[in-house]
Amino acid sequence: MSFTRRLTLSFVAILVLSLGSVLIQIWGNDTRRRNVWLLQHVIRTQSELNDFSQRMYSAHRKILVVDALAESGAQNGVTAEERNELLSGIEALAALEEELSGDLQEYLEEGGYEPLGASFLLEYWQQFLLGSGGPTGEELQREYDALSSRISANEWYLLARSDEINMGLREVVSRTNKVALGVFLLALITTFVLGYYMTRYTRRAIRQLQKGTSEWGGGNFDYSIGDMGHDEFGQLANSFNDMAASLRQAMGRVREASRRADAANQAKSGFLANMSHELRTPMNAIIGYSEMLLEEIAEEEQLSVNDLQPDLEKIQLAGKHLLTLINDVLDISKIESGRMAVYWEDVALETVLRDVEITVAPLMEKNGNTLRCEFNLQNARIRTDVTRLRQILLNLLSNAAKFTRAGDVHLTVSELAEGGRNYLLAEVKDTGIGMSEEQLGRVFDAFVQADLSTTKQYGGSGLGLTISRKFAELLGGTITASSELGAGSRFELRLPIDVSDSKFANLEKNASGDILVIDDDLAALDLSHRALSREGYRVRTASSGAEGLAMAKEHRPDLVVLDVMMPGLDGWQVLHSLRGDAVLGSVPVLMLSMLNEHDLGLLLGASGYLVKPVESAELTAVVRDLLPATAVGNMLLIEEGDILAQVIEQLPGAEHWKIYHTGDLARVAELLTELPWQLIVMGPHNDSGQISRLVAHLRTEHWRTVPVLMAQAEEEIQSLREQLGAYLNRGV
Amino acid sequence: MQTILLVEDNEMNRDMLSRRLKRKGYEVLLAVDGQQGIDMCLQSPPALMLLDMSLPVKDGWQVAREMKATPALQHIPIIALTAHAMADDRQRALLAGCDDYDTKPVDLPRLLGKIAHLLGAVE
Repeated sequence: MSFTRRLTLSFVAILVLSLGSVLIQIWGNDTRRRNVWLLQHVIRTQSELNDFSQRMYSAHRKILVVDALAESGAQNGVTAEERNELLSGIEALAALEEELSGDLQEYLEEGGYEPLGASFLLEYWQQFLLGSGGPTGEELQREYDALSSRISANEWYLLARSDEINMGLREVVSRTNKVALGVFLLALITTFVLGYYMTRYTRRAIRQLQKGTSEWGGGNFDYSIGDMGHDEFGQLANSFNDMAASLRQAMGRVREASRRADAANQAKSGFLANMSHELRTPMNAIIGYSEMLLEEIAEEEQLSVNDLQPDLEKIQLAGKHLLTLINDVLDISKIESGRMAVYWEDVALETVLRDVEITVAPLMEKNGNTLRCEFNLQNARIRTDVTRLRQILLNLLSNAAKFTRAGDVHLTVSELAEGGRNYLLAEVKDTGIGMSEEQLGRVFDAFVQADLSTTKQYGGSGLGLTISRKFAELLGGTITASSELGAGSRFELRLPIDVSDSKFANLEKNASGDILVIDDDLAALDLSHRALSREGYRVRTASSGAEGLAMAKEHRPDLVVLDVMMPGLDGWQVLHSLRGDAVLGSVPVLMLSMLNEHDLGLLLGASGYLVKPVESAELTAVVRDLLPATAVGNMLLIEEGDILAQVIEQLPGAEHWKIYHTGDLARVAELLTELPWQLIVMGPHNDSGQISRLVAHLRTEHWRTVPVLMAQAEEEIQSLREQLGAYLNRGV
Repeated sequence: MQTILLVEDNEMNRDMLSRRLKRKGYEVLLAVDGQQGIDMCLQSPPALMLLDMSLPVKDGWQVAREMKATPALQHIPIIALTAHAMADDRQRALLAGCDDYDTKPVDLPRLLGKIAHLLGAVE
């Protein structure tokens, strides 16, 4: 039962008891009132009866006196006036008797009283007074005595009745009091019991919850609050348990993440030590052999080239190995910092595979392995980044060759349609040393080879598989591994090959913008042209600096790709002219050079700098990076508040602008010299003197080409808004 | 002519260093792993051992410990050679029982100095 329902029921119980008490009180009051009323009437009747009795007595005495007078023979003993007075008294008594009889009948039960029957006596008295004969004095006396005794009897009856009513009244009062007390006590007990029960229950529930929270607070997240039913506390306990479970999971994840981070950190340190070793080994050979050669040349006179050749070859081999290592490390670093570009193209897969097969043949022979290839290809051409694909396959195959002696290496390539998509499946299986489950779990981690002894025995940087997996992920695919110690390993590469509907395709389809490429080397020019056109850019080419400058002025490109070494006007001069031009000053320029003068290039105003030879993927990636920020331009918004800023924010097209917002005129002066501006917007400003100087400055020759839109008062903001709207729209 | 045993698994380094030492007038014996190094010492003890630390089968530290624990071999001075250039590598090599330590790439004059010093001390 829910806690609320328990409380409600307790409340209802107390309410019912209270209501009962009130009803009893009402009933008691009513009964009391009725009895009191009855008692009052009985007592009044009593006093009336008493009064009647006295008056009857008095009348009787008077009649007796009259009778005595009559007996004594006094003819005129009673005056007519006195007689009339007596007669009217008798009449009044008759009326009183009638009223009394009604009262008696009303307040005494049937049989509980005697009819007064005074009328007979009263009639006698009348006849007697009128002198019309009738009863004698004796008879009257007898009648009167009978009536007196009846009156006495009725007085007694009334007394008994009032006693009876009084008793009833007392009984009612005591009964209502008892009931009221009982109800009160019952309500009190109920309240106490319920209160005690509720308090005890609540306290116990809270204690249970508290125990849970303190357990969790103490770090024991495995603790779970026991079943507490389905009421609010039970629900609260369940929520707490759920929360603890979530916390437990979160803690688990955090611990796992921290463990992984520690492991990765350790692996990284291990890697550094390992890399140091790996780099020093070929360096050792290079330095050692070259020193030795120098010694030989110095000491021995009769040396032929043939004597030197083997050692020179060793130096070369060690150098190449060193380069491979460095490239691997660079690849990893590029991938990890997200700078690795992907270049999608349609390729003839069979050719790529045969090429890979030929490349790895010497590696296979070295350890006496046989490479068995099986290609089941449905599509002649697929869409992928062929460089990365080749690198992955070479990595997997050279690993297989490295860890297998006199065995077989299988390369199976097929296609698979699954979930509406087509995949390339490449499986590399060997019969080599294999891996334990633990080694298998870490095989793709960066900087981790199966273990250090493996590294020593088999060489390598321990990065090949990491690189391969990262490449596969870059291409939207996966690499998985399975292996058994001593029974060989199996790696499976799965790549999506119809990427036209995937996110990768968007990168090139959406590319837009005018690009001018200036290069005197026609082959390089063609390469850049093709790479950029393929991305969707509109590309113009110029084969000399002068031609380039002319075209730039004519077509106003969004970006210029500029070779440094050119006859005539060289790249630096062209860059200088571009930067000095009012219109073209802000166009991003990507410099291409044989020399690595990156910092110099940026210092002279280049937006980007690449060292030749430039890969297509690299070029398009850098172009993509440079373009969006400069697609429209920099807007300087000079305003003290932010009314205009809000207006501009709402305008379509504003999101393409880089907006610099300030009301500080000193900052404005700085900004004007620091950055190229395509639009200046000025709102109302308090310092009108400074503003007019600024406006005058912006009207000078240097700023001639930068549009300045102004609202000098708040009323002008609306019209400024329209101008801006039109301008921003045109910008897009 | 004094005999130096060079224990080194890398073919190029072995070839290069042995040739350079020969040119300096030492007789050089070669072993390609740790176990072979110990076996050769037992057969004909050299005047000095140049020991690469990263060796297959039995690594340099293990070889050094075994040599120094074998009465017949403990007098042979050992120079540890390793491309591990971390700070504690030297300490580890000396703890394992090596008499001296040098890093790769080898600085030949320095190595020759250490060899001469150790051989002089033995004599």
